[in-house]
Amino acid sequence: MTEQAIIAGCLQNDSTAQRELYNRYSPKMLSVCYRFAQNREDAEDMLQDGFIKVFTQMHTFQNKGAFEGWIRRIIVHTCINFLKKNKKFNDNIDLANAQNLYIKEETVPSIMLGKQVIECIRLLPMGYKTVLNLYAIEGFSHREIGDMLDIEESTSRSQYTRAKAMLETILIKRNIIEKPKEDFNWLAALA
Amino acid sequence: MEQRLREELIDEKMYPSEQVWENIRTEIHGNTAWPALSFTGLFLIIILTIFTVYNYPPKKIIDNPNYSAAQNKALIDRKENRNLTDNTKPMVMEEDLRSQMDPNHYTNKAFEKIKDSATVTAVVVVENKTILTNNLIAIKSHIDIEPNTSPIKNNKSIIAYQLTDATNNQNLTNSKDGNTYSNHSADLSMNSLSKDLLKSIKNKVKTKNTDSATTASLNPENENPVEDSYLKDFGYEAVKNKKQLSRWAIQYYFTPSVSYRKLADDEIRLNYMPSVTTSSITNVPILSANSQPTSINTTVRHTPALGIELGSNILYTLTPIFKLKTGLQFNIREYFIDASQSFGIATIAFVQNNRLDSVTMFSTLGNNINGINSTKINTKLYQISIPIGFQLDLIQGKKLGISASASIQPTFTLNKNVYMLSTDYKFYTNGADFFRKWNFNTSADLNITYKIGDLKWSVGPQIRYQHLPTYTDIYPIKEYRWDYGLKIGVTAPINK
Repeated sequence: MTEQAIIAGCLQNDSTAQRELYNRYSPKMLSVCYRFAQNREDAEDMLQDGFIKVFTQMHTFQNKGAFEGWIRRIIVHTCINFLKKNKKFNDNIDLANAQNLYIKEETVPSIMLGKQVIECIRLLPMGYKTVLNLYAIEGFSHREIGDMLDIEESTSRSQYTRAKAMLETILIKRNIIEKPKEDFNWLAALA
Repeated sequence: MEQRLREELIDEKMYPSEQVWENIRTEIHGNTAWPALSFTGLFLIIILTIFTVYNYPPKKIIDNPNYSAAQNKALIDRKENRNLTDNTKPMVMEEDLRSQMDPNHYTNKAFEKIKDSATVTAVVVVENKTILTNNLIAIKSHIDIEPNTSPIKNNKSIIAYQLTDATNNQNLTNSKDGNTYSNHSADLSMNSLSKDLLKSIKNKVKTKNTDSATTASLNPENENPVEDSYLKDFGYEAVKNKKQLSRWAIQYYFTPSVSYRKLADDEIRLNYMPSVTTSSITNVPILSANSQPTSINTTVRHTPALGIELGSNILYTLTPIFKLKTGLQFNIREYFIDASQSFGIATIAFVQNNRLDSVTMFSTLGNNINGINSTKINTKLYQISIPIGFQLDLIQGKKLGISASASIQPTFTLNKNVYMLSTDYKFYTNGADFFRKWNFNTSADLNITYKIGDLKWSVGPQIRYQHLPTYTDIYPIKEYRWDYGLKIGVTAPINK
């Protein structure tokens, strides 16, 4: 079925078209949800809520831009609302406590690269993880993130900086990326 | 780093469980209404309607306490009168009249009907003065008009009926019109009229049959009218003992059965594949006749499983050997598909508006061609059917017999536990969206029957065939199902 046929079918509340849309986009969207969620069950709940919004808000799609992008934005907003609703941000921790996270790391299965990166992101504290997901992967600006999470734009920036540093640490520790070589300090060598 | 993360993760996929879609669909389209309650309600209404019509009109007057009291009093009086050895007392057989005549219809017209019927030539009804007089006159005139003809034409019986002794002061209430009729006014002339009538009948009987035992049986000392040989001579006993054969019967049955299926996709392979080029075969996942020379049935495997049918039918006898039947039936049909645990996208081609299109579905079940990671898919379905058909009693012995029956069964499936094969034969996926909820089945069976009392037990083989494919017409692989079963049933007459 073409994308236009799916959209037309969904506008007519046709279950076959809705199923086709779901089959086509749900794998990618579940991956999005999983990066925001604490576990797979939460991710599936987010996905479910997101697709219900997609089907019920289909008439608002203006055919401007990619259809997948439109769905993705709905799913991301649904994830954020889910986290707010369930007060998932309350267990936020700061960078000082990041070392404790390595205990959890042992439970993360070692699978293919993309999945490994996702699992590393999921090790981050909720606030860091959310900002990192929104900024680095989903492409939202810090202003938009601030509006979405009800935080200052500067807070979003600082959270992102810390999140990125923590993620790098985790990725290096798990040998997913190499530790960048430090620049040779000629002054120190000469001293 | 952001760029790298985005490239790494933007197209990452994970596959949700089937339950997520079920929840979404339920949220958007609502729960499928469970129709079993409606069916059961409809069935009960039909049964109640049949019984109501069958038993109409109700015998109100018999339930009337005044009537019952009058009856009891009349019985006592009759016994007392018999002890007085009054040979001229009219015979009282209200039970017989009740079986012949509805109390609400004690009219001249009804009376005439009974009088002319095959079993009763004359009836004397004492309910009120008018009817009594008219009827007696009618009977009397009947006898008098044909003096040379015996009133016992064709060995028909004569039943004389007196609701109450006309000499007693017994009130009766006719519940139909609400009027109270009193036998107080039924004076001796009435009684003498009754006596005259009975005498007249007796005389004629005597001339017809000179058997002394017959005349002796008129003696009211004989307490049991059934044993009265006088009545025997007039076929009374036959009337009394003969059960009315009901045309209606009810049947209960169950049929353990095994389900089989056959797949067919020749139509789409032959009609659509020649126009599809080799390069596009991967996009339109239908195996061509050339690439798949053997039948689809050789590439899939399934194991029959035991199901059951439970049902009840109402039978109506049209002729001694031909009965119509209808009822309600609950079916459980089941078979297992041999599949494998594998992970992939099932692509389903479908035909819509004479065009070939396709949808993709996530699947964790592969077609088990190689027997690796094998698993079984259970396809248990619950169905409600309304069988409408006939039964032929081919051979009817005293006890043993042979009968055959057939029915067409509109069938509604209550659940959608179905898995359809992707059109490239590689995967199985949930087929709920393509499932046909309404279908038609035909059932035929041949039974050996055995009578035990009023019950007729039957056992015999049955075949049941599903006419329409399991999935809607847009799905190109047609699945037809049939069941082989052993039907065990019992049929009981519905007595009047």
